[in-house]
Amino acid sequence: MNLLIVFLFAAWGPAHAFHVSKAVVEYNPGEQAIQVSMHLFLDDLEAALKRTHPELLYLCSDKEKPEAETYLKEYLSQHFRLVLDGQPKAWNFLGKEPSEDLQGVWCYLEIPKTKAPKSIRVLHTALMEVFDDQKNIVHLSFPGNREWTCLLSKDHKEETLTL
Amino acid sequence: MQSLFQTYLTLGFEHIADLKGYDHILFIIALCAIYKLSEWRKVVILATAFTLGHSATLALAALDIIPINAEWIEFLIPVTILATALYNVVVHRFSREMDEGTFDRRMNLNYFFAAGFGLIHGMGFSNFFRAMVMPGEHAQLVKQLFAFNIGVEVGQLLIIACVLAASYIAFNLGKIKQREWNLFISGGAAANALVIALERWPG
Repeated sequence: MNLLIVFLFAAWGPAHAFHVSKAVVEYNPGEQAIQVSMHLFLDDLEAALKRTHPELLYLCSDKEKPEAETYLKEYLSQHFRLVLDGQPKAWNFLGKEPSEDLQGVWCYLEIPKTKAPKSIRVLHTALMEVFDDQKNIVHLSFPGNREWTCLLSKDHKEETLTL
Repeated sequence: MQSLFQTYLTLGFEHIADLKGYDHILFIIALCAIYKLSEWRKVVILATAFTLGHSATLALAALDIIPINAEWIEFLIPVTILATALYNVVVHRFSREMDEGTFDRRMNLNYFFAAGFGLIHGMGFSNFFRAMVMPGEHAQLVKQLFAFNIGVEVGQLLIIACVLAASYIAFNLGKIKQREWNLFISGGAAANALVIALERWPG
């Protein structure tokens, strides 16, 4: 019987790997812009990009392929969308940098010259096609200390917020 | 749309109650194996000791006060389960056995196990927590930490309730003796923890 329990658990696999990304979306009233900082794990991202671009991109390393950033931008534009007051708004890719522990990448996006929206829809499906348990956490921060957090997953890919 | 608090509470709960990463569940099962439903007060003290341990190291690691070697921590977690399960099997030697397999646990070593091993599990939680903690001042770290801990706590209590309920059914409907139950649960936990430890052997 104990053996049965062992097999039962072994089938699930003991790995404690977790698949999570996080992003802060904030409105900057000084610059009249929506600014996004998004953290993704590098190995997860490589796995996702490999599906459309089979060669390794060596993101955020000395060996990074010149086309890597274009692929990354393309990928994010398919998987991360913001709709402000019912209007889909394209963001600009400002740049990226490796995270402190070098395991992840911070991507910086911006929607310039925009008024503070009355409603915002966030769609964030990055990495969900690779990992069933992928969770994307999005924290929204608007002037006047108005803050919300959404936890997006395969069953719950987007959220709409009325400010 | 949720508040930051609700989100991190959910993440804490899902992290401990996640069947895919069941090592924390297994540890709690092992901790509870020598108790029965009527001893729930002792289990609550035990859970509190575990919580004190893991909250301390989770906070210290999340605030970058102590460094974490993820590989070693992931290896040590199943070792804590193995040690607890082995202790369960020999506990009757340290205590006077009362009637019906209830032990007078004067040594109460278990509470120290729970607190000490909590320190290791907290470092394990911190690996996860650091991956999902929001940056910047907008989302205060302490609030996320607190919410995450509450989520872990709720998950922990739920697991304890399930284990004690299962043992209640085993004792009363299954007519299983407490020592048999303990050996069964601890044996299963030990075997499983050994497999995980070998899989996570550092290096």
